[in-house]
Amino acid sequence: MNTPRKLRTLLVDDEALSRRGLQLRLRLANDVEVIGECSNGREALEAIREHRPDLVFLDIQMPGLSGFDVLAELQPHELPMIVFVTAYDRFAVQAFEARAIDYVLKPVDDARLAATLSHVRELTDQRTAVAERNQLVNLLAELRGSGEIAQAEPPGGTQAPNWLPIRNGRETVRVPVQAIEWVDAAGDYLCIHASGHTHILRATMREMENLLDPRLFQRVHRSTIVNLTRVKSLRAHMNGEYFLRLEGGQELKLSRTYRDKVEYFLKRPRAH
Amino acid sequence: MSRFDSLLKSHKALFWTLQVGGWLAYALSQYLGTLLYDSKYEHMVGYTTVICIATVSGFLLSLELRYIYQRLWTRSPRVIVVMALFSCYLFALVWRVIINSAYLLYTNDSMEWVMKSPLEFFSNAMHSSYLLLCWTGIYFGVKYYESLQQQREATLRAATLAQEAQLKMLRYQLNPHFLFNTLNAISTLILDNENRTANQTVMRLSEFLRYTLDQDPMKKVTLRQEIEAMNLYLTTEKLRFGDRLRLEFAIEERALEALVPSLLLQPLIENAVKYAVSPSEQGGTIRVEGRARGVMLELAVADDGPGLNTGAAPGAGRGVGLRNTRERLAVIYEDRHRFATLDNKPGLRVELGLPLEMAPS
Repeated sequence: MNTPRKLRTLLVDDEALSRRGLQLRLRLANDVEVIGECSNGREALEAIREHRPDLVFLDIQMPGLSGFDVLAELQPHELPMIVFVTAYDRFAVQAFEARAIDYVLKPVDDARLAATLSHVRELTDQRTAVAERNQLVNLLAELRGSGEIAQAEPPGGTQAPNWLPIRNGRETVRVPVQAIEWVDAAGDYLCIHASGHTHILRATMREMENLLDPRLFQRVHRSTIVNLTRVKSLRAHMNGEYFLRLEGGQELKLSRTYRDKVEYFLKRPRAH
Repeated sequence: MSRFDSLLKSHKALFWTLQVGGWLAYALSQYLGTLLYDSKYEHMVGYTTVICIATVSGFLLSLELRYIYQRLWTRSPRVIVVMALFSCYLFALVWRVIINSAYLLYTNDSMEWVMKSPLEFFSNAMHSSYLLLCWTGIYFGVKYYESLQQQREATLRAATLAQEAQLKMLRYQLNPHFLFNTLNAISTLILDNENRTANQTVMRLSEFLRYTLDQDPMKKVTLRQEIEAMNLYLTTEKLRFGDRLRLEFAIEERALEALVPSLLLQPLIENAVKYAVSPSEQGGTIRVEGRARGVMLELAVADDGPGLNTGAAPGAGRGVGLRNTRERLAVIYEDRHRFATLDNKPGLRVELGLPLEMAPS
């Protein structure tokens, strides 16, 4: 029997001492290879996209993008196994427990870390990224609350709105439609990615498709709508699938079902 | 004065003093009245006997009234008034029978009153009932006064307790994030064989913990002590944040000896760490100022973070520390304090002004 491939692991924490602590402890596990360290969410997002680690230890409280923000940005095909790291966060820990999501508490207990690693190893073979992402988005919706579209029907009738009002509790955020980069579905929720923020709301893909201007937004996957102007490049994959690369480095999958949409990206813009 | 006070406090002693004194005064006034009316010696013996009997019976009857009134006390005012009037009249009738019988027994016919009908046993009952009504009035008056005093004391005590509880609630509470992150740092230092640093950190942490746990929320400390405790905290945080946490202190020597409520600045410092240093990739600078100006001690905590309104964190996170500090100042100094939050562009500046009290040297 050949030795199993080492788990390529990324450590994300804004405190150097905290990363050092994890690294020292992970040395004891001989099938873990730490491939990098990041000190904030932005770096983490870049490193995950570039190095495709198997496993990420993700601190929740970080400057800029938090651990949760990083998570909301990742697509199912980019999603590594995530183990949350936190010093003290009662609500998050309760939510993790309820959903059997892996987490470790600082200071990290060796026995607990070993149990987490063995759980991760068991899962590496049989994981389904889509289901995992759905679960994680559900977690985010629970911890941060989710919004809904405040006004489903544009006032002008057939004309598509320039602003998408998202109501979350008492607050309504007006998201400029132009700024929406892509929208993706996860379970019962939609994630709207705009200007570096992810808005989670309860709505269906069909509702969103009807609301957005089809000249600007097209569905490219059962669970993805993309802003056509944000797509930078297009790369053929297998079985008639494509990968769309956005300005921010984000890759979205265009599935076979939506193969005919490729023409949107290939043709030259035409005056309507 | 103090004996009078203790008399007022003891319910029983007050009653018996008034009861005995009152009835003696009654007897004396009756005696003097008789003396003016008819001072013949042979008559005076009989009259004095009657007065004695009237006084003793009145004394005993009023004790009965007291027994009834004690049971009436908890009833509604209407019931008390009706029952008191009724009791007074009934007791006056009984009392009158006793007094009139005494007249018949101990005074002789040469005095003008001769009973013509048995109903005359009740004569002058109205007059006696007035007297008992007077007694009733004094009884309830004193009792109401006493209960009012008690209520006032209870209200005062409740207010003091509430103030103390409020101060306890508003005082600084150790942030669990800080504690666990520091323990994590210490654990890493030990794993890394950095024993000296690990030990220093344990010492600083325990000194800071002792300071936060030992402080009475009502107690004031010198600004020097306060700054020292704050330094313990900030040095520990610096271990975690490294160069991202930058500090500036500008505190006048004279201000260091001024008294401040303990851990007054701590929530403001923690806010600055949490909202200005921690969320920024480049970190931030925290500036602490202190100076004595006239009768005021002026303190300020400033950061170069995102300020008040632009904080990305939802909810009132930063508000809690600010509100608690302001309320604590209001409870301790009432309107003799100043609290202001200024948009520093960039950052937030919190300014406090409190009466300048110097520590006794």
